[in-house]
Parts: sequence; C-alpha cells; structure tokens
Amino acid sequence: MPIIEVEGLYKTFRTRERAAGFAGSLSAFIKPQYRARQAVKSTSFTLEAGEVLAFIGPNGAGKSTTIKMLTGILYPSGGRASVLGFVPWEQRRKLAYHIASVYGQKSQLWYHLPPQDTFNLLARIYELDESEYRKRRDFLVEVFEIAEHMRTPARKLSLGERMRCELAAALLHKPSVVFLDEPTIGLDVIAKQRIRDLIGQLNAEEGLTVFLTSHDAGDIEQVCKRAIVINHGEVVLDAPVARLKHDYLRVKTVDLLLEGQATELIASDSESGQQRLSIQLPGSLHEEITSAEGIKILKANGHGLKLEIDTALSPLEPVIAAIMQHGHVIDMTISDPPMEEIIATMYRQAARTGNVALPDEEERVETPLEATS
Amino acid sequence: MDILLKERTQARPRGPKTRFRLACSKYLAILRVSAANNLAYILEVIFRALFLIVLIFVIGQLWKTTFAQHGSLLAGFTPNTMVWYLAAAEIIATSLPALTRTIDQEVRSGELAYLLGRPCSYVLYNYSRYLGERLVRLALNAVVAACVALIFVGPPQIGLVGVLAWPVMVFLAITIEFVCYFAIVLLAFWTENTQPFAFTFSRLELVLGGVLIPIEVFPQPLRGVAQILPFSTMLYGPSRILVRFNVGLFGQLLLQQVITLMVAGLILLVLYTLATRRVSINGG
Repeated sequence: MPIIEVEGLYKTFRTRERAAGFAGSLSAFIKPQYRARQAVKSTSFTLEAGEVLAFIGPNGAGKSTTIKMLTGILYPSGGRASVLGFVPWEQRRKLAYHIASVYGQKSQLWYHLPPQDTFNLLARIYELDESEYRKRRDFLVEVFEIAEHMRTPARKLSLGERMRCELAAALLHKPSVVFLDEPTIGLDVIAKQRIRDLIGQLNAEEGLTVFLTSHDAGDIEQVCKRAIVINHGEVVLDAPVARLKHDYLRVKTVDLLLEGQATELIASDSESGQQRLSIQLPGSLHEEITSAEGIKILKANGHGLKLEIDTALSPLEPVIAAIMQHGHVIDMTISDPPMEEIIATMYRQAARTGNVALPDEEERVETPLEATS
Repeated sequence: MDILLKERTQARPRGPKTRFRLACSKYLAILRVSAANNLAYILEVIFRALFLIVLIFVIGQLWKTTFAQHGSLLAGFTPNTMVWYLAAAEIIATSLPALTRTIDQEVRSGELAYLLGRPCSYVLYNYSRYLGERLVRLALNAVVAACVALIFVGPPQIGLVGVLAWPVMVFLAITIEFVCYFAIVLLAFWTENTQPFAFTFSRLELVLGGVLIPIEVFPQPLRGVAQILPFSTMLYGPSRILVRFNVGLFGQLLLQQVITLMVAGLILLVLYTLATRRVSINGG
C-alpha cells in the first residue's frame, strides 16, 4: 500500500504585479493588479515505502511547492494528499513526528552554537526518550562521520560538513519518510558524493523512504530508482531512473584543459568538412574514434577542448583514456546536461513520437485576475 | 503500509500530565538554547547595556534640573525614585529583541519551512526563543542600570514587596510585547512589509508607555488616555510598582495587564489562524 498518495493536487499563488518606475508604483498603489500563478497543476502520483524517488524539474517547476504541501506547510488550492495516512495540512504536527525535511539552502542548526546543542534541542522537540536519543545520535554521528564537528559552532563549518550535520539532525527521530529539497546544492564533487552515499546507505539499512528534489542529474542517477519529472507544475514523466538514464541522461559534456593544443586531437572530415576527434582507443591501435560514434566537438580553442559524448554509443572511459594517452590533461570536468535541456529533449522526443501526454512547453500557466483593492 | 510503519506512525498513548510535562520541557529547551545562542552576541548585549549609562545620566540630569526648579516632589516622585523609575523602565525598553526583523528574515529566506515542519506550536516556539534572548538582555541591563542609578542618586527608596512584585509585572509586560509584535509580524501575510507598523508601535510605546516620564506627570487629558492604552502595561506599570509600590495600584495594573494580554492574545490567535492559510514560502 502506498505511503504517499497524491491526487489532483494543485496550488495557485496570487501575486501582486507592479510596473517599473515611479508611475508604475503609483498605479500599483491606486489600482493593484494581481496575477494568479499555478505553481502546481493537477498532480497525481503514489509512493511506496522504501522507495527513493527523484522529483525533478527546472527552476519554478513546482517541486518545492509540492514538498511543502506534502509536509503540511502549505495549504493546497485543491486536490487530495495523504502522507503515512495523515492529511498533511490538517495534521501537520502529528505528521511531523514521522517525517523529516532537509532544505539544501536553508539551515536548521543554530548559527552560533555547535550542532550538539541543536541535536539536544531536537530530541526535546521530538519528545525522544533520553537513552534512545543518545543511541540514535551516536549511531548517526558515526555513520555521517561528524564526531569532530559536533562541538564546533555551526557558523564555522564548511557547507559539506554542515549538510552532513543537517541530515543527521533531520534523522534523529527515525522518520519514515525524508523529504530532501536540493540537498547537494552548492557542494563540491566529493561532498556531493558523500551525501549521495549516505542517503543510499540509510535507504538500504533502515528502509527509509526518500523523496528527493534536485537540479543535479548526478543525484538522480546515483541515488534514485524512480523519477518523476515535473515542468510548469505538471508531471511530464514518471519512470524508472534506468529509463530516464537511457533516454535522456546518456549524453555527458566533457570539458578538458590540455597541455598541448586541442587541434592536435582533431581532424577534418574530407567529405562533410566536419571536425572529428582523431585519437585511437587504447589497446586497439587501428580503431580510431570518430564523431559518428557519438562524440561531438563543441569547442576546440587553444588548450581547451569541449566534447559532447553519447555514452550509449561511446562509453566515457575509453575516450578519456585515449585522450590521456595522447597527451597530458591538466584539468577535466564531466557534467550532465542541465535539467532544462533534459526537459527540452523530452518535449522534442514527445513531438517526434506524437506523444500528446506532455503539456505544451510554451504554455503559460499564469492567468490575470481581476484587480482587487 | 507495512506493520513496522504502522507501529511507527501510531501515536504513543500518553496522559495529559505526560503531554504537559513533555511540552514544558520542549519549550524550556528552546528557551535555554536561545539564551545560549545570544550569549554568543554577549559583546553586542554589553554595548547595548552600556548605552544605558549615557541614557540614564542625560535624562537623570534633566530630571535633577526639573526638580531643582519645582521642589523635591513631582507627582509623588522624589529625585531618587524618579531616576530609579527611569532605570527600571529603560531596563525593559532597551532589552526588546529584533523580533519582527528576525521573523521577516525567516519568511524571506524560507527558513520558516523548518520551523513550521516541527511538532510544536510556531507561536510558542517563537515565544520561547524570544524569552531566551530577552532574559539575557534584561539581566545584563538590570546590572548596568542599577549600578548607574546607584552612583547617580544612591540606594533606592523601595520596599521589598515592590522588588518581589517587579519580576511578575515584567514577565507579563514582555509577554504582552511579544503578543503585540508577533501580531504585527503576521500582518506580513497581507502586506508586503511590516517594519513600518513595528516602527510606529515601538515609538508609540516609548512615548505613551511612560519610559522617560511617568504617566502621572503627563498633563490631562493625555494622562487619562495613556493610562488606558496597552503601552502603559509594558513599561510604566512594572517600573511604577518597583519604585512606589501600592497594593491598590498593583492590583489595578495587574488586572490591566491580564486584560491586555487576553485581548491581544485573542487578536493574535485570529490572525495566526487566518495567516497559516496564506503561507507562501520563498522558493516555493
């Protein structure tokens, strides 16, 4: 039986509009104009216990608004939702004992105090038994490797250290569901990986249900089993991450800073005149990598080389190994396509296959309201 | 839902006594952490307290000049009780934390989401946090103001009953202030900026609350108006009782404080109920 059930949930915000300049301010004061913005359109989905769900979409898609409705902070404009059998916005305080939320850009730690003090306070707030609390705290401190930070004021912790403390603090009361809103935002690669590993570990060991929103495709690929893609407040895809990866996350961008000239690795196709990578795969002296194998040269300028690699056609490792064999690589970044591009690809594919389930990408979800004073 | 999950989500059976004990322990813990957090700002609190030296000295001088011209008694106050009254009122007035600004900032930054997601009352959470901050400031202010007044006019001519009644009235006074300012903060759900309201309220409190001049000294009909306004329950009431205790007046001021608290509390409750339906948090 699902532990989260959402049916036709929607939220409309009414915002006041104001034109620029003094005249605009004056006119807004005399005759205010309001605009209704549908942050979440009729959304329906379910989530089973122990699932790790990626709830993804570009900025302003309605991810955070959905989380805030499911945690009871926001009242929806309509629809139905149940989390662990509770109606979130009607039973917010009862539900709070069984769920946790972590917001990547916000902190729950007391700024001037060490995390230890916040942990002790949360134990009281969640009415934890003293001995149970100590056991749980010690367990989380060990798992999250934060023992050395527990007595350092929160303001002196790095973002990665703070995030690990934030996550541990959120899990003190053994929640059944954890809502993570962009938990890796702003973190470096190592800190991101650590957070992802910890989420995976807690899901595997404690059966924790995870509802994760992120902009970072890496979070989704490495942590989640299922993904719901939301855009303009509407669900545009609900599929296993494996399918998402295969269909939309297979292209990686590789940015290289080479010791030699980038042009040394490039050859021009005599027929089409297009540039292609001219290197040989390690171990296969005669097999040359060509653009046809899913490698596109985005930029080759001086020592800089930017490639777009379709990993389904050309796995990353041999390509990188071949480049490194050819010459010294000073710096390298591998990145996923931005969420906006993934969404755009979904729309392009839907248009090609004639899938009408996707809403119009350009559709405006804003409707003006009558001016009220 | 599986059995384990069902067990976890079922409320533990607890009697009203246990629930009350746990609630008290919860809000006391918030108060303690807030006080500890503010001790990190101890230098700022000390500097604020040092400002009292200048304030009491300058206004005390003005009162000394006034008394020199009008005799040794003014509306029942001697120079000694007047300076001690001034010190007592300033202890409260200068200990007010930036409650409205803190909550405004929490709403803007979206950190409100954490607080609303906790299994505790948002109003009581803020009240405990406010008390923790305010008690630290009050304690330091009291030490500094008492030293200044002592040097300036000598030991206070106050009775033990006044000293015992003072903390009760101060507690009610700062609670009324919290309720009023919190109600102002809730206006943020209807207007874009509550700072002008908070500014006007604080200035009215300083002028009509009798912080610099006891309300008895006000000319009529201003005196009558100031006495019935809620501002007098926050500053004048506790300070007047400390320096010139009178059983009848104590009962009257206490009753006024209780009525003010009940009315303001009711307004706050209505505003809060309406406001929670209008919550919209930044970033969603």
